[in-house]
Amino acid sequence: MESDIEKYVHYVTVMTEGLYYCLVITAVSFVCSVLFGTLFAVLRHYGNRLSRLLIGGYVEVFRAMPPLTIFFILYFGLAHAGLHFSPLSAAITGLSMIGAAYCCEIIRSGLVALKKGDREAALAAGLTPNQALRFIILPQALRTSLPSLGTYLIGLIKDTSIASAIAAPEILFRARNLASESFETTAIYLVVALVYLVITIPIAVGVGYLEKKAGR
Amino acid sequence: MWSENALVAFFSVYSEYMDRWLPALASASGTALTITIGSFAVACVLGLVVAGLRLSHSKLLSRLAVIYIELFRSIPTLVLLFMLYYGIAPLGIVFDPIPAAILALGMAGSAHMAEILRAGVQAIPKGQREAALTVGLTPLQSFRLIVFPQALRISLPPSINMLIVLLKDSSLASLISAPEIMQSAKQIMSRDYMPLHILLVAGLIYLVLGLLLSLLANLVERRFAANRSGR
Repeated sequence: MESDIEKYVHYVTVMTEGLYYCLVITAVSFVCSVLFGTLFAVLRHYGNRLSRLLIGGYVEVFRAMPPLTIFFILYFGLAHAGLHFSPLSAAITGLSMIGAAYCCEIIRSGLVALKKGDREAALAAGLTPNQALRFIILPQALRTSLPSLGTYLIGLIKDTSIASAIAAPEILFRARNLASESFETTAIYLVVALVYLVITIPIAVGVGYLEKKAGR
Repeated sequence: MWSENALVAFFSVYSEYMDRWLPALASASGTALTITIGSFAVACVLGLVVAGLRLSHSKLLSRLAVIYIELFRSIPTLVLLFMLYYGIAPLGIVFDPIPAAILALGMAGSAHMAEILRAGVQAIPKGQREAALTVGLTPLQSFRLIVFPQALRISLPPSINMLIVLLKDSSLASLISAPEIMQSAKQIMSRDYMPLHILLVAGLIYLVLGLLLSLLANLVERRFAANRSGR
């Protein structure tokens, strides 16, 4: 029989690995979400009718479908069509696709909130439209979007738990395995909840700080 | 590979299988809506209580409400669901899948709902309450008859948004085998082995249900707006 200490060391190791993958999924999909979200927001705000229509459609579809459905389409559906994703890459791809839709809307509202004069002044000062976007418009739009992006990040961390359904090796998936081998179900799920609290609460505090700063 | 024939072949699967899939998906959609609306009701009732505590003059109660809100906003809904369904079963509290889903989604939703309602109440100018007190209403009456109805109007759009979030989250109930849309899709997947086809249909159902809910929301919102200008 293994001792209690060994058992708990095993628990902590497994959960730490789960936490590591949770953070990897979160970080990669957050970066992709913001990058593509920015691109889509610019295309939707400044683009022609076709690009506005296409991106509008993309945003509606990916905001209306549950992450679980998108994970299943990527992981099971596309595998059947010959395109194989690993659980980890399916989770990252799915969350990035959904995130791009949400971040597009967040950043677009940042663009809408900008005064027209900023762009006009930048153009009048001799910047090209591209430079105006890069140096004047986007930095300001992103700054106004920061609190909402923070809130989105919290949602994203929570959504990584859904990737356990396609066996992505994150916290909840590890916990389910531990629960089935040890039967200490109640304690294990409490620890899982605690881990999520510990990661999300600092971000929530940061968002609160940003909001207060923006309100002044 | 993506020739015209392949496309035709892809969609011809639907004409062959749809008759078999539709009844199962229809009843599954019913379950999904039951979970959505049930958890929305739980979220509204709990949210109202928590918002009341949050706004109360007692520091202790207000602090407790903040802890409740932060707790249930931070824990993923799926973790709450597993805690209710698997986590407390060893303690002798056993739920069926659908009630567990309604309760878990409702608890997660109640934290957001409390914040929505609090923001609504706080958006009402203080003068409204003061005026109500001046004309002789009791504090309770002034809240019930003057402040709360106006706050509700402000809280309506974000609440409807909450309803759509709950619809999407109802998909998580498939992971504790509640017979809703994704569960039905999983069963069809393993029976007919057409994962891509059936999952696209499942996605489409969520799209349509979400669209219907937001149309309904627009309708309700417009009625409230009309009432407001009418008075």
